[in-house]
Amino acid sequence: MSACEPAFVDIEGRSLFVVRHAPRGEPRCRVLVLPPFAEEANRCRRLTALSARALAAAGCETLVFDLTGTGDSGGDFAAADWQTWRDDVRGIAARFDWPRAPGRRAVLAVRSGLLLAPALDLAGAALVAWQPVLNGDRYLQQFLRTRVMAAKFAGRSESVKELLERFRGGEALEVAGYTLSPALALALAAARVDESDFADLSATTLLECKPQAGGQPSAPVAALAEALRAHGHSAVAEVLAAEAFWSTQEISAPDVVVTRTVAALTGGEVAP
Amino acid sequence: MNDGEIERILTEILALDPASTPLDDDTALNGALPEFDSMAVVSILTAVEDHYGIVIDDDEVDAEIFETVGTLKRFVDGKVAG
Repeated sequence: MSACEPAFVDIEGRSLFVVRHAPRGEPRCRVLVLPPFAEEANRCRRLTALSARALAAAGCETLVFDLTGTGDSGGDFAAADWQTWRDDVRGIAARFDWPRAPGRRAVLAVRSGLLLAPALDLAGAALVAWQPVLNGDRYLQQFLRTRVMAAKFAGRSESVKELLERFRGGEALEVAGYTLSPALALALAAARVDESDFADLSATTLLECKPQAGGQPSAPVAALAEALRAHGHSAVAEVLAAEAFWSTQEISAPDVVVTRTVAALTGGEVAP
Repeated sequence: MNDGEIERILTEILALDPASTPLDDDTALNGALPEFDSMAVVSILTAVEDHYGIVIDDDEVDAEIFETVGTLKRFVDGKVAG
């Protein structure tokens, strides 16, 4: 039976909550999970835990952690910044021997967690990305839309454009219950990934979820896979028949995401 | 518009049980359903945009659109018709 070990680790004076899902015996690979942003981290928590457990059962040591100021980690979300999060990712990887792990190492990026992947040395690693966010600017605007809608329904008029201006002016803003500092907002807006960030990977699997199977991936995700393949890298973009687990009102953990992820990282073996 | 897509989107995004919360044009949304918050509104707008291939400007959206299932359908009808 694989083990599940929670711990608080000190990274440069910051206390980070990590759960290490350890396989029985020597790990065949080490997977580092890069978490999504704000409320999505709560909605994805169950699917992530189930996937980590399944990966451990299939022989992959899997690290699930909360970034500074989120989840059970120390610090305040309002004081969180992008550089600290990048340092968190590097710190956790180093602490758990991810960069020097013999054999396969992998990243499981959940949503905007992919924007943190360039903080790591990804050479030779495998990547699985769930409903990947490639463009932090578009993502931030979608996030800000929540506040615009809430304001509208309360009879106030706000616009995404105006909120961005306020961030640039140094103002922190509350969105859907999260206090977003201007530093974090603007850094998120500047975050982008493209094929040059993933050129050293051994294999890339980009997974998107739609109500029906067999659909086409979204254009930017399909383009990323295509660009990687054009440079001779192994890359696929696939649509799974599953709910939008990162945003559904009720927590959902589609089994097909678990099985497809384990298959991608273990070459097909999925433990019961 | 009677393709049932709006009802399907609402049921999925709000995680409604069709048996206990059947949706017809008179079903009240905003203020009536506890699941109906600003994050749900954004998800619904995104799903509608994606399904019908339309772009909804934030300026076009107000609380009245979400008063009932029927008001939402009429809004989408108008957008699709161009």
